[in-house]
Amino acid sequence: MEKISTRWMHWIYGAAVAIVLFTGFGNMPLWGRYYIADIPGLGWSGNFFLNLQVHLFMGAVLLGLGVYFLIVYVYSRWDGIRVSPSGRVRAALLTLALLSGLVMAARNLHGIQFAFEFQVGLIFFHMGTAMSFMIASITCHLARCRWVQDVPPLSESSKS
Amino acid sequence: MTSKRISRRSFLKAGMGAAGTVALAASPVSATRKQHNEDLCTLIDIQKCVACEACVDACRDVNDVKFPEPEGPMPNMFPRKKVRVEDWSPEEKRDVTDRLTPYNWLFIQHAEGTYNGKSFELAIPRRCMHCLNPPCVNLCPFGAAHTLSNGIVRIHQDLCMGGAKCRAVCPWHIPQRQSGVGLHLDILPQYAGNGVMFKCDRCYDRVAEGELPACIEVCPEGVQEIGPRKEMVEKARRLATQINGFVYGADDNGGTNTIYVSPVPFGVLNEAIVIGPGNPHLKRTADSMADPNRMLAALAIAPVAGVIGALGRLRKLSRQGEGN
Ligand code: SF4
Ligand code: SF4
Ligand code: SF4
Repeated sequence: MEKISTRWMHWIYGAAVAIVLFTGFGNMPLWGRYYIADIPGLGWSGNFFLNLQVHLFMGAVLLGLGVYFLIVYVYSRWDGIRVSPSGRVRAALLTLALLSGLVMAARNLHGIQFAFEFQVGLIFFHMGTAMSFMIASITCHLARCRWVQDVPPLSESSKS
Repeated sequence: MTSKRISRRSFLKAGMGAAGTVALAASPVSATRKQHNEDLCTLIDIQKCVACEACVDACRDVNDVKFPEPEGPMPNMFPRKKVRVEDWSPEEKRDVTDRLTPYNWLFIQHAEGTYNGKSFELAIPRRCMHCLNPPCVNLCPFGAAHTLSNGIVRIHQDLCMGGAKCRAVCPWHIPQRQSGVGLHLDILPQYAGNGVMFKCDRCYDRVAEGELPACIEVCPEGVQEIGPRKEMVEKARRLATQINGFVYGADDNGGTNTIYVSPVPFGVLNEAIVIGPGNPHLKRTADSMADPNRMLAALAIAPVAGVIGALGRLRKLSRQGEGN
């Protein structure tokens, strides 16, 4: 595992996931209504434009980390490192949420608009994959599932 | 009368353009509005308005079928302190015509004052501006607010949860809430959502049938014209030059499909009107989407940063490998 990531990457990943989910819920007008934006230091969460900016920024952090892990993982596969089944589920859900989020972000540009049905489908797909990712992540955290398989890689035994 | 004929001709031209756009837009993404030139746009020459309110009445008449009809008492919203019930359905409130409400999508704003030593008295028809890149659409969490291929901005009543985010992010706070109706009643009526948001939909159904929006058709003074955006903006600028006047809406909030022309600067008008809930301002307005769109740079840089980071890591790993 040390081959793939560093401790600070774990922390950044964890913080980005927490903030992206928090701001994702904040995009539905929830935090103003339920006093979260009244908590000192969280006032920004009730400002929809700021909330969206933070959401997009944290999405970018996850996108960067995703690309990083993909490349390093493909390389590490030669050393027998394999993503666990629970890791695969999380990675797939996060990828879908990120990709649909990218399409949604593109819509904010001038001159890009979506047909009503496509727009609604996209939004609910984004919410669905993001919430499934959240549930999967919480479950894995509680069950202490690891991202990579515990089985000692074959190449390691052949090396020693 | 002439202006009415012109408006009908250019309107039909725009209609044909829009029909072509629809035919082309078989794909879910309509990039055909790139230049917005063919969007349906209105030009409002405010010096012509006599404040007869025929447009206000016509809007109420033709859109009556779309107005909310709450059944039963208003839900007991939670938390009470934070979620205000907004009920415009009682008869006396439905009759309000001097501001925007869920039952009044167009009203006449009055401005009186002096400019350049001369006194003025102007009436300004106000409603949704139908922005080119509307924050109400971009930030609607459920996709209820959307833009049609002809540039009309609509809020779908069956999908709106009434959270009023569109009103909060709209620079003019146009959409108005009616509590006690809509989809949220079927989900968590007390805890999520609070009715449905209503605003001018530019008579999209009439437009689809090739008819003019009711407020434009009925106006005895030909205050409004409708046509392709490019044409309307050019005409507005010409008119402004002729009367030594001013244009509003062409660039505000990144550009809208409602262009006002006034003989008095809009800054002066803004000081002369009543501003408040349902009474939008006339201030110069920056593009609301500019700040969020700055974050798109981060989204573009992120994958590149990921690749660079990964290559650095791999180099370190291979060096370590060699070291072993
Ligand atoms: S004026 Fe307000 S409600 Fe109308 S399209 Fe623009 S942002 Fe949306
Ligand atoms: S375009 Fe239609 S909905 Fe909009 S103000 Fe005019 S009459 Fe009302
Ligand atoms: S009908 Fe025409 S003149 Fe009368 S208030 Fe409306 S815009 Fe002004």
